[in-house]
Amino acid sequence: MAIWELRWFDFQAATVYVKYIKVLLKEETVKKVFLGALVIMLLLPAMVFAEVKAYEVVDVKDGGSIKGKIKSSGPVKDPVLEIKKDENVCGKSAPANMYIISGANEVKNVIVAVEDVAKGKAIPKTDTVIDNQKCEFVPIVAVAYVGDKYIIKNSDPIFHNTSLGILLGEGKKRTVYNLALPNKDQVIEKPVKVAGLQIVQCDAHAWMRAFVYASKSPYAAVTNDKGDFEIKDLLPGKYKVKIWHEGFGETIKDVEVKAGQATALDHTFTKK
Amino acid sequence: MRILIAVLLAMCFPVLGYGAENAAGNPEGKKIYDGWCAQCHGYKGDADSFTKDVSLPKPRDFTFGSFKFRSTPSGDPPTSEDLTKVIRNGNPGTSMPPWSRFSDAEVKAIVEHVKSFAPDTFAMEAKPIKIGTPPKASKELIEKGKAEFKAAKCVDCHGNAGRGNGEKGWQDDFKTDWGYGIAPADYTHGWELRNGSSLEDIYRTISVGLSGTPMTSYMDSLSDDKRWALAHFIKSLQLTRQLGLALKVKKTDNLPSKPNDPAWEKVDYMDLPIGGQLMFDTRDFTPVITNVRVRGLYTTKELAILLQWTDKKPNDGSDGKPTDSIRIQFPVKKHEATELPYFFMGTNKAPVNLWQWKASDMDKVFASVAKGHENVEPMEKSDATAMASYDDGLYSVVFKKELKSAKDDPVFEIGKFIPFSITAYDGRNGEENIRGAISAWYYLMMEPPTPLKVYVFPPVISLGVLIVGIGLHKKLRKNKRG
Repeated sequence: MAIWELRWFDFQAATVYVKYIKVLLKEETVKKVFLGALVIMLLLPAMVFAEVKAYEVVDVKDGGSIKGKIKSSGPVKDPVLEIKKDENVCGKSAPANMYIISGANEVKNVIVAVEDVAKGKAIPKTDTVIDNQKCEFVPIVAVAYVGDKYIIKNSDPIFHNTSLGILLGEGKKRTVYNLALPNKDQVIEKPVKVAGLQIVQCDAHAWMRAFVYASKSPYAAVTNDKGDFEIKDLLPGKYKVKIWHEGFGETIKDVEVKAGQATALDHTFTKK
Repeated sequence: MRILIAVLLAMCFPVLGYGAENAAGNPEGKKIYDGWCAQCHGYKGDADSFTKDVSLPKPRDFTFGSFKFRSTPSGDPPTSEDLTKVIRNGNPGTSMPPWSRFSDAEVKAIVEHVKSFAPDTFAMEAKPIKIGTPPKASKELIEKGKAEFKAAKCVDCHGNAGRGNGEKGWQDDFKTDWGYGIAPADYTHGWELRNGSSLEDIYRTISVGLSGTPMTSYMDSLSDDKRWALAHFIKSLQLTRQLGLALKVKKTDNLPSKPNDPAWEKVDYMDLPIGGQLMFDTRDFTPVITNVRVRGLYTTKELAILLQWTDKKPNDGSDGKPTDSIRIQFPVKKHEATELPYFFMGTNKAPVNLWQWKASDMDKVFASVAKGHENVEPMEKSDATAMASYDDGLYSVVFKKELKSAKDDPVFEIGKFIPFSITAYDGRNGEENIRGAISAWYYLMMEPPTPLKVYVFPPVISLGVLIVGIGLHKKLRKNKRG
């Protein structure tokens, strides 16, 4: 843990101790040193607990990977969105693109995320673009990295607002950002600060939605057209992996990663 | 010994410091919160309370971690000062009152306790945006703001006249973080603006938005000077509320031919604050109409009363909800006693006359006599007529009646105070029958036309006084010399 990661009360508490000790042990340098050491020892556990969630970057030399394919037990019909606002730009109807499933039942746009990773390789410098295109978010599912940026765009000649929120159950959320993009080609950049699965919405066009998984570690991926994903350079160990899809729901798998090896993680969703 | 004390002290600190961080906030704050705040906001801050079904908007659920009223950019938590401001000033147009009974230290403790309901949100740093010095209002600046109101698409939700009636109709789908429906603000009603109605308040709201609602942040998409211009334009839309007890009704040769005739704008007005009917079941705990503006004119034959109020979405009853409606009430017969009939629909002894207009029957008056809210009889014949319009979020209804009155009619006598009261219904809010927003008794007075002698006698008398004065003066001077 680096010194700049300390919170203000760590300093405050430390200042108070030093003050007390100064008053009580004015000239006794030896005792001062002894007590200073004692205070630091007492503070240490609290500091560690307070920052338990911080991600630590280490050099991963002989890491392992998780690789797999996400499938559906059968074809699922993609819903069609009925559009009743701004039809001149948005069209009269549009595919929801919720179930993008190949002929071989491979599912696109599934988020696969290794949860609560304490340390590993550095977070990629990859900003996450969210574009408003013909009243649809592009992409519909994405991974963002805490510390990087969201680049939010409006490619339509109409008003959109882009609102990100942590889902708190059916129809409820905690707003993370709500930004106005009144004009075409407006671009807003914002830091990714809040971690977790977020819904992206536009209040003006209620059918628009996308999902962003904001990850504290680099170990998260979205499946491609073939339902494939790969998460590389994990330190060997046991992990919990979240597999999430907008329509199918969520499942959590235990995975053991071994040095220099690829652990297979396949999953087949069944539409309830 | 000293060393021992120091070590003991040092051992205490982490326990206290970090303990408070994780456990439920501030004990002093919790005590006050549980005593004064939890009845609406819930003991766990989750707004699971006695009042959640009888207040609109509902009490804030703090556990969501979304806070509407911030001075910080979108995505950041409110500052302690923001929360303090809400406690101290209350929220205009809501059930949240201003709290002056607590000391500053007590408010601070409450704020700390409220923060403990959403530790994730308040783990982030809160830094207010810079509000700088507002530019001075000018006609040009307001015009610029008006253009920006369209360019920035504010108009899409808030409507051309800023009454919250945006034509895009998005508001039907509007949801808050808490899952409730919400409507765009009516800028003409400054007293309803939750985040404050001053120029700075408006600028701040445009800049950072209202978290948890569709009101989005324009800080990144509009330059500072455009946001100030917008704030000036929006501020210029606010009605100047004219509260009072009696309305002057002047005589005219011809009544305006339409309810939205610009001639009405030059006529004196009075604003009636109205609130939900809470005396009888079914009560209206959640009214949305807060003001009715009244104007009147009369001719030798007729009295005309114009009622105007805003409605963000007109509703004529065709969608299964009740129709929008307004009703004016007068005492039956002449009001001479000191005591007025009961202000809501009268009593058996002191009945009232009701004229009701409904959006479902634009040119009709439903006249009735009420002897209490459970005893209403439609009148077979009434001379009262109505005409109505809905323009850009504003209903205008003119009731007219001949001055001479038949049995069971109100009596309109020139120069006398004529009591009246109003009930307004927003159909979309499920209001009808006795569930509506009501006013107390007010008066209107048809001013007698100024008789000619008013213009003749005073000059004649002052001339007389002048002549007498000069005479006296001369006489006195004569006497002095003599």
